[in-house]
Amino acid sequence: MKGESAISAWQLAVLLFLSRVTHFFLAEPQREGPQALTAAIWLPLSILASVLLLLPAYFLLQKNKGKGLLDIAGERWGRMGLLFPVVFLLFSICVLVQTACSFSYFLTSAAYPQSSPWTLILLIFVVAGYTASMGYEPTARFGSFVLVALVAAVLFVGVSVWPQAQWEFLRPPSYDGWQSQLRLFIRFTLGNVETVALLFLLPAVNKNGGGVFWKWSLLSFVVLDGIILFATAALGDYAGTQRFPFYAVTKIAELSIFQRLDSLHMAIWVFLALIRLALFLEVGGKSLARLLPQKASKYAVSICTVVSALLSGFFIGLPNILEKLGNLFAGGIPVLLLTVLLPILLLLSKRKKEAGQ
Amino acid sequence: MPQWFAKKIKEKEKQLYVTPKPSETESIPLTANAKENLVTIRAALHDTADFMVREITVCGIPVKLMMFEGMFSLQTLTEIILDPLGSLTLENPTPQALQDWILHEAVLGMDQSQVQTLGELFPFLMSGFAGIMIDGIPQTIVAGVQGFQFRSVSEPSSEENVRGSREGFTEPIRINMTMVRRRVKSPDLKMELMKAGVKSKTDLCLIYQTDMVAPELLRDIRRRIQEIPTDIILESGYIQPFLDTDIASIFSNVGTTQRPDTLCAKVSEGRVGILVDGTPFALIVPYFFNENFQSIDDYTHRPYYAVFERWLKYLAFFFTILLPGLYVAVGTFHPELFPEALLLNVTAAEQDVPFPLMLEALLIHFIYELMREAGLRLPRPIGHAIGIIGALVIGDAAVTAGLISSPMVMVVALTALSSFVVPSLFQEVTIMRFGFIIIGGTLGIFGMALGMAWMIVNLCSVNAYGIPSMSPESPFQMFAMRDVLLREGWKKLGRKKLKIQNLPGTEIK
Repeated sequence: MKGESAISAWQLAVLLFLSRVTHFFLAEPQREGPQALTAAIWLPLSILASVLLLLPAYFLLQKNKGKGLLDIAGERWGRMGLLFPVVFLLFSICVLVQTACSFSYFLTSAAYPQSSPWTLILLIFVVAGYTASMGYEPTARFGSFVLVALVAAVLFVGVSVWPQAQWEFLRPPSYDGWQSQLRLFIRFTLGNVETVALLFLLPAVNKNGGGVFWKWSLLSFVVLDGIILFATAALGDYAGTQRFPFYAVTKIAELSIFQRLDSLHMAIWVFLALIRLALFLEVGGKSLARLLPQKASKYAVSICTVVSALLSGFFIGLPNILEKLGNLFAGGIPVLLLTVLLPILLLLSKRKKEAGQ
Repeated sequence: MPQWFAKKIKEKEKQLYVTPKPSETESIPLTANAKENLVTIRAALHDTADFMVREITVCGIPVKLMMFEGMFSLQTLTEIILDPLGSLTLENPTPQALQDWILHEAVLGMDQSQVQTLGELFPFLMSGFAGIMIDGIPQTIVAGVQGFQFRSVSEPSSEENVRGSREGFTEPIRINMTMVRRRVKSPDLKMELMKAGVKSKTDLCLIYQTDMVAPELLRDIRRRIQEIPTDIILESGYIQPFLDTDIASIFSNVGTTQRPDTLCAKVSEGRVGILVDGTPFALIVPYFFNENFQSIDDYTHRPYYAVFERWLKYLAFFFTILLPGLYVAVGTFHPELFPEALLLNVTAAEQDVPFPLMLEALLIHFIYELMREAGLRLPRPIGHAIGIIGALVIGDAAVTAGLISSPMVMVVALTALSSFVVPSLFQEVTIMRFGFIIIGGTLGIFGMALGMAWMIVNLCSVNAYGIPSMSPESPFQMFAMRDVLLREGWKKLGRKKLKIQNLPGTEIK
């Protein structure tokens, strides 16, 4: 008897966590100065806020067990339901472009200043496309290894910077003012694009799986808070001037004969970026497959990979647009639309249908 | 254009190759006329020189004994067939009475059967059976009188051990089956004979434990074996690709072993062992990645030492594939990663070498592979000499001539040494090592990380008969890890048995 080909709740939680870490490392520099304690406090609070925001989507998926948002939209809205895959596809491509460009920028500024960003983008998309084309399961299994590598690397770096950490750099939350805190709260809650991936991939979790959100939140809370506090304690005000503060920590870290740990850390970042790209390539590919004719749908992930790689290559030369894209995500409107508004519309449409009957 | 190209390739294939087909004579039935049958058999065998017929008369009934030269034991033939038939007296001597006597009263060997067509008769005769054809009966009785020469049971050359049995599989399948049966005296251990190879009709034996194996796994393996289109099967490697569920992966999910004890251990976890006649290498299906790091010695040593050995093997695997590539990547793109003293030494050594690091690494690895291959194929004494020449003469001369640096020789030596620690992954690591040298030399650590990611994803994508090949590491299962990264003591390990179809992520029940 063939069982269901699915991933476990822990596997999905790990994937979402790793994706979030990537975003945190690449696109969440401490833009507004050293506010580690504020960030460390708002992170768990944003998790609670996300619970409230995801309630409509949760009810929708609970009522339609085993079905994804795209299936439900197709059932309720017919042809109009195709709007869902279009929106998800566009969203995924935007996330992919932002991630690839940030990653390429990181590599060219930190390790390979003479390399062509095009080459770096192309290479990482080749491997990410290969990973995504293998499906959820291999990506999730790969994620487990990356998690172990990440935790080991963070511990390794943590131990090595411990003697240099100065805890007085951690300022009280009130130091930054309420506006800054509000921005952080919005960014942590609504700028968290992985919630979209969570809703999209939830039906792929096997029957025994439960509590993906809580597992993901627990991982995020423990590891990210740890990284934020350590980075600030090690760097102090210097963290605020760095585009990639966590990378700066690895540059100052040294352990015994290992005088530079940044390259080791870079390898972990490559894994993390791959996970994020593969995750959103799958979301994009699955969405695109709904829009393509049946025969062409098997090439959806490949098409999504090529389009995203080309767009990333194009936008890497347009930093202003990338900045605006980053601000758009940080503002939270795309996430609000996909995880709150659209599920509410679907819930309401069901009520209308029931009322009609 | 691609269609035209594909058509041209197909046409060329048709000109060059023929599809193996079973012989047309195989379906010819035997008749009651023994002489006529003999003519047909000889014609079907194209009057082959090794086919022997001995005509005798038993109680006045003509009987023809058929054998292949060198396949039977004359002593056994005399004892179990010629003597009983020579002294036989039947009250009512008819061909039917003689057949009934042979089939139901006499014991002409333990292996006895009745065949009706040439297709059924030939494999028996060619396996060392004697065919007893009674004139007037449209069937032939076959009795096992095998007596061919074969290599005796000896220590497995590719899986030597410190403690435990010194017995390794040998070529005849029946002897191998005996070696397995002797170790597991359980009625649940089943051996199932099959044939494969359109022309060779090679005997295969599926070995499994009925209470442990997943029926779906067994059905799938049987189907795959029945569909093998190859005409001749001379080694288990011929059927391995047909059993591999993911041929696109660089890692195989079919394992091999020369040891009957290893096969028994694997079978007891719900796997299927496959013996192939004519080879001492048995197949194990499915085979997971972590099993490459297990050996029979792990289970005879004390647990703490077994754990140490296992970690050493994992380390050696990563050393083998990554060390040369990493050295090239760090030396070319990230020299700041070397500790200061080492950096100075490496720079001084590389100063006189005319090649870039990547080319130097490729060159020396190519030379190493040449020497290894030469040492492997040549007779053992000459092979050893080649090894010494390679290590001392060529290595030293190349360093003195400034063609390669001493650190690079060290890297190659360490890599070569590590590659022998996990012999079952030798093919994979050799190719990957070259790949990582090229990637490291062109893309640095970024490329190495991408290459590693590709390798892990490739490994993770393999589902061996519905069971993740990376299980139980990922999907993770704590219970199963007690014999992966750790090796618990027998007091705990022996208490509960792992059933592979219960591993997480498994699609079969």
